[in-house]
Amino acid sequence: MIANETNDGSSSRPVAVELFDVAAGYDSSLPIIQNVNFRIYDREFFAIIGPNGGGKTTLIRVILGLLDPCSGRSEVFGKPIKHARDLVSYVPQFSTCQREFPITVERMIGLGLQKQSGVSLTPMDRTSRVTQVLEQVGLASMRHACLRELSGGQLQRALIAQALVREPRLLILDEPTASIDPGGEAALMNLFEQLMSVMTVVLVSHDVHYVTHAVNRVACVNRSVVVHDAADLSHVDPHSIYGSPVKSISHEHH
Amino acid sequence: MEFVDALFSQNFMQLALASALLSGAVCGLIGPVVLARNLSSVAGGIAHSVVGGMGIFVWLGLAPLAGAFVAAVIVALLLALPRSRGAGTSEARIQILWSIGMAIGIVFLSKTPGYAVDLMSYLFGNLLLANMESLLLGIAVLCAVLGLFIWRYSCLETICFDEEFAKVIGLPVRSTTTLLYLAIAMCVVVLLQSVGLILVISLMTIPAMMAVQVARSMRQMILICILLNWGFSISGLWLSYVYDLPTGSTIILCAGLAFLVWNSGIWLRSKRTQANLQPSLQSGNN
Repeated sequence: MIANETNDGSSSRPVAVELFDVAAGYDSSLPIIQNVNFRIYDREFFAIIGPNGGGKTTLIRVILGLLDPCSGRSEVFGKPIKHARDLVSYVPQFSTCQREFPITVERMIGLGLQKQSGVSLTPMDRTSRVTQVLEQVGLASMRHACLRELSGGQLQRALIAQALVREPRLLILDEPTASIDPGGEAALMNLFEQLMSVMTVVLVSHDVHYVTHAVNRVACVNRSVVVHDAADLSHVDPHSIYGSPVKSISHEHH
Repeated sequence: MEFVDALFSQNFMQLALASALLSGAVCGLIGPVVLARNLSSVAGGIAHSVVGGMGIFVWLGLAPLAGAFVAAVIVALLLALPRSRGAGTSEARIQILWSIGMAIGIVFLSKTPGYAVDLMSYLFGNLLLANMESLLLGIAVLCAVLGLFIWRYSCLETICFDEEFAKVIGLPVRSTTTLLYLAIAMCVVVLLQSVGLILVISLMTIPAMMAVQVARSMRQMILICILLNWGFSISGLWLSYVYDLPTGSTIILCAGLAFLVWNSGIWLRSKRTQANLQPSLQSGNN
């Protein structure tokens, strides 16, 4: 299994995420991904794509520090993730959160402001940050609604607001448009493009055509990881990138 | 009236009422978290495995409630250990500790000379046997659980809503989860006296399942759970006193009946809303 990176001519750019020979999985004798080496640059719009079971979730869990690699290491802004948690935020698939849990949108977003070392926010600052992100994701009118009163798309936007309120430098989103209608999807993609000016955005998706229109580079994950420029993938059949059964794609390592 | 008179005149009834209110408050605090994190099997596992500690302590001639406390804490810590390879799933660990705990308890109780502990009162509870020691234990547990909630409230709320997110932003998820398991263990010990170990889960989950449908925050949910628990405990105590019924089972039956009525009310309301919506939709289509 080979994992390489395309030459993107960006070696002088600050690095947001870097993986060094990472092998990871839930059983150390059978890693799901192996020999993973790639970088995600600061303020890059980056996608991770691949079929179910290919290792996308394993890869982001390693980056987020939710799973220790079997071998190798990963860094976020040049530091191990445990020293860079204040810089990172994450939007899970909305199926992982307790939708019936009694909490208002405002309170839920406010939970994202916990545990930020060096940041001392007054209640007024907190309210204004929450207001700002609610407007950003178009949920200002739902501020006092309970989560169980939201549609799937609204809940997804609330989760994005919860991640954004931390003002992270790296935002990782797992299938953020899975429950959103096409109109909402376009609005979210516009939002992500705007965010690129202030943060690195990493999007996990299984839809190659959808992501290649918006992002700079794409990591194709199917047990191995290969990074492509998004433009190179826009005319390619997805199955040739990560077909089934497992297929390794190797590139020259520049 | 006879019940009210007894409350004012008889010491054991006052102790029973105080114990019921304490159990209700402790369960009301912990119940919403148990429901949100799907920990009812953890509570059940701890509740049944405490029989081991009770059996050993009775065999040693010590207080069974102290044995239950020690066993509950040990089992809670074992269940809170991170899962390692070969250690089995959490569910399997619960089942193993549950059955081994009960087996140890029964073996030791059977070998206790002059064995006189009324195991049934711990299996199904008997508030009328509450004494000053159990009341003091209840107060200590309530203070400890309340302390945990005040100290780690936002963290608990985040974990209940989305544990992964809590981990990513660096909240102390593991230590809070361990403290939560210990709080469940202490809550179980308090409940042994009132409803007994067989019925512990009901008093933790039934009020929470009712409250989650109407509450708009975790604080509201906790408050509703405490009030419901007090209602069930007092009405169960009253019915058991008047009709000479087992107290713990009567409390749970009150909770079960209220749950049925509550859900029927919610179902009827949703049907009525649907029926009201249909004509307006039809007129809209026309």
